[in-house]
Amino acid sequence: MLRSLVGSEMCIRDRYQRRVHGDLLIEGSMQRRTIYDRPVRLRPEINLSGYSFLFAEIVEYFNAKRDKNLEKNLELLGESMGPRIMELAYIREKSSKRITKHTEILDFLVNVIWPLLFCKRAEPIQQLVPDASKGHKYTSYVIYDNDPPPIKYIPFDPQDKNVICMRFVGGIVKSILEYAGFPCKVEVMHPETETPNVFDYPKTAFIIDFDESVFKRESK
Amino acid sequence: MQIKEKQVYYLFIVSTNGGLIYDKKFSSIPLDKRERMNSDAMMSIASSLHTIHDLCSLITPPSLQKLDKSSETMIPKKVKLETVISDTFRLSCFETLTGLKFIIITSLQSPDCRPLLKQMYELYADYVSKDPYHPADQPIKNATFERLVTALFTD
Repeated sequence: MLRSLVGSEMCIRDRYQRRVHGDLLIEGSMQRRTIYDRPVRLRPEINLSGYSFLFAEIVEYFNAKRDKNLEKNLELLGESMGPRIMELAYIREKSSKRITKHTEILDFLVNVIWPLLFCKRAEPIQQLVPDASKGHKYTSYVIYDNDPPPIKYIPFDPQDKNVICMRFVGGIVKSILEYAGFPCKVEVMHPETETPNVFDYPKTAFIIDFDESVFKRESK
Repeated sequence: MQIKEKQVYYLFIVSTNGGLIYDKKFSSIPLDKRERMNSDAMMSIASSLHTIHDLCSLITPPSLQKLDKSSETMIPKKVKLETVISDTFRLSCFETLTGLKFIIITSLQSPDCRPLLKQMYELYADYVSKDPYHPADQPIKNATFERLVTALFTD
């Protein structure tokens, strides 16, 4: 008797809470609130320590695998996250216009995706002049991030050939661009300073090379 | 809290098992004594300190032990080794909740070292625990951690 009373009370309370928060109303049954019922427009933050521990564990996990493909695995992990991040960012952005120009998608990356992922903006996009001798015809774009949060506590020793853990974010960037309709290649590196073999860590550069088709369709 | 580098002699981090994870010798140690303290000597000192720390509760007379009044059976609180003062040096030890010990050996004139040890603990929690290339309870070989610890002592 008591149990059924408590049950019905919880049912009523659940329904009341759902009405108050303006979520979908689940009729009748005492279903538990799932992740799909939570409001999308909230902007939750997590703390850096928790994130760093999780990321360090991911890197350690891939490191321990026998196929020794740490960087490729990190990239694949990022690529699986990209489309979902893109959808979320689009829903939260109030504009409903689809992005068709490559300069606009790059601005979207810097001004919307970076704050969504890391609560900070990346540096303004820079262009690289195409190297005609190497056969590059179109400009490459570079996104710099001076202090990326995922690798804040991870050390880097070029002599030890440490892995570039930011390939994870490179995978996210690549899949976001491809999902938005801009096929490209993304290369991630830590820029070298004047002294050879000394890298400006943790500053990271994401070099984006769009496919020829992107430039051709925009020039029409 | 601003301790001069001249007054610090050694720095140790001892793991929960009693093994030496990190050691640092400072330049203020006289040369003849520096040769005697090779890595083996430091490791044995670290494990001795670990054991002494554990034995502290047995050595303390019962009248001085603070009883844990919250529990019903009045179990005495674990006594921790905090400072060892001798004629020539002072040793300060800070034990964390997990059993990790930060030990610093300084001259007698140096100020209280506990805030410094707490800062070192923060650096450890940030740059060593979150390092994917650092296996648990192994000697620390992290260049960033090394650099930051040195920076703590140079003003």
